[in-house]
Amino acid sequence: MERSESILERIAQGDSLAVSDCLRKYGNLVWSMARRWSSDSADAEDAAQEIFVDLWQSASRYRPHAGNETTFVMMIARRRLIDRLRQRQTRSALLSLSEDQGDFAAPVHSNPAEVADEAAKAAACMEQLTEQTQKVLLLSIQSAASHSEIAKHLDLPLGSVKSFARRGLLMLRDCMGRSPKAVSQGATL
Amino acid sequence: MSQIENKRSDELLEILAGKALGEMTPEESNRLSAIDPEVYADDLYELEITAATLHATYFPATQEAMPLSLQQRILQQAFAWEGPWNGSAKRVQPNAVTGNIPFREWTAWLALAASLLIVIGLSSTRGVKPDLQQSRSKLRSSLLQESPDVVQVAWQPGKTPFPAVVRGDVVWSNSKQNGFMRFVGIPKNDPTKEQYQLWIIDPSRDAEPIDGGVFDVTDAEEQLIPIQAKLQVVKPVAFAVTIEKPGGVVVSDQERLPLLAPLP
Repeated sequence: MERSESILERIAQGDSLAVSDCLRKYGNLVWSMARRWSSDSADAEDAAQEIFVDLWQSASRYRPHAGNETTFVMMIARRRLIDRLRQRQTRSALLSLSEDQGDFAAPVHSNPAEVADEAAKAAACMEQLTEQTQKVLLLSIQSAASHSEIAKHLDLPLGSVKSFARRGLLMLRDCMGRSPKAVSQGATL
Repeated sequence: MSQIENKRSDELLEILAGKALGEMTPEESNRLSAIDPEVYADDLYELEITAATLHATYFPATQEAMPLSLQQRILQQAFAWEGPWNGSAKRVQPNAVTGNIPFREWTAWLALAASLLIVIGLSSTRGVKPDLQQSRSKLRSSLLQESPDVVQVAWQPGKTPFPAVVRGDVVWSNSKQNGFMRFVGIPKNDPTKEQYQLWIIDPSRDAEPIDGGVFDVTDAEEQLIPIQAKLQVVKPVAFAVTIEKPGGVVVSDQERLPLLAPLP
C-alpha cells in the first residue's frame, strides 16, 4: 500500500510500523555515519542508538517543505555525532586531517533521487563561493574538524578560517533559498 | 533596526553557523545559552539542514549494512518506550537517554527495570485474566474472518519437542501485520528462569528470523498470545517457538526449539 506521508510524519502520528520502516530505510546510512565518526564499533553502536532516539523524538519537527527526509536524518545524525565528539574531546585523535583532505571535493552524483535536486542546488551555490571558502567549508563539513585544525592544515590564520566557514555556510543557506527567520529578521544577542 | 542591532544579529547568526558546523568557543556557547532557544531555533534548523545537504552532496556515506543485532536492539528499545506508537502521548525526555550516561549503561538499567517488572507482574497477577483471553479470542476471530490474506498454520513438534503433545496454531495477517498464537497443553514456564520467544522466519526479508516477541505461559488452559513482530514481516515461511533466558535474546542459538509452524 502506497503511503503519502513520510516515515517521520507517520512516527509522529504513532504509527508503530513506521518505526521499523525508519530503521530499514535509514539504518545503513546512520550506521555508516556513526562508523565514520566513532572510535570503534562499540562507540558507533551507542551513537547509532542515540541517533535513532533523537530521530523518534524529533520526528514531529520534520518539515517536508524545508527539505527531504534523508537530509533531515543526516542533520540529526550530524548533530548527535558532533555532540559526542565534543563531549569526549577525542576529535583530534579520531578525525585528524589527512594529507589529501583539503583538496577539492567534487559533488557526488550518486545521490538518491529525493536528494538529487537539493544536491544540485547546493553544488551550484558552492560555485559562487571563493575557492578558499569552499575548501574550509568542506573540511569542516566532512570531519567536523576544528577551525584551528583547519587553519593549521591549510596554513591560514585562525580568524580567516572561522570567517570563511561560518559566512560560507550562511551564504549557502541564503543561496539555497532557505528563508530568513527570527534572527535574520532582527533577533540579537 | 539600528546598526548596533544589525551587528548583534549578524554576530548571533555567525555563532549559529558555528554551532551548525560543530565549532563554538566556550564564550560563544555561554552567550548562546543566555538566549531563549526558541528565538533562534528556526535559523539554527536552516543552517543545520544546509550543512547536512552539503554533507549529502559531497560526502555521501558509503552504505555499510547495520548489524542485525544492532537493528534488533534499536527496535527493542523503541517498543520498550512509551513513544507515540505505543499509544501514549508521553514522550521520552531527551536527557533520560542522551545525557552523559553511556547508552550501554542505560540499556543495562532498562534491562534491569524490565526484569523487575517481570517479577512484580508475577507477584501481582497469576495467569491471564479471563476477560483478556476473551478479548484476544474476539480479535483473533475477526482477524480470521476479515483479513483476506490471513494464514492459519498448526503447531508441529520442533527439533526439541515437548514430552507431551501441544496443540494449537498460528494465525497471521501480513496486510494487518498482526496475529495470534494459540496453545493447548504447552508447559508453564518460570519467567524468572526462562521465557518463550516466537521467531518469524522470513527469508525474503532477511536470513535472520524476526523476533516475534517474548511470552509466558502461566495457565494450563488454552492460551492466546498476540504476536509482536519487531520488524515488518514480508513473506513468512514458518513460525518457531524457542525457550530462552528471561527477557529473550536478539539472536537465538535455537538449542531449545519445541514448536514449529511451517507454512504449506
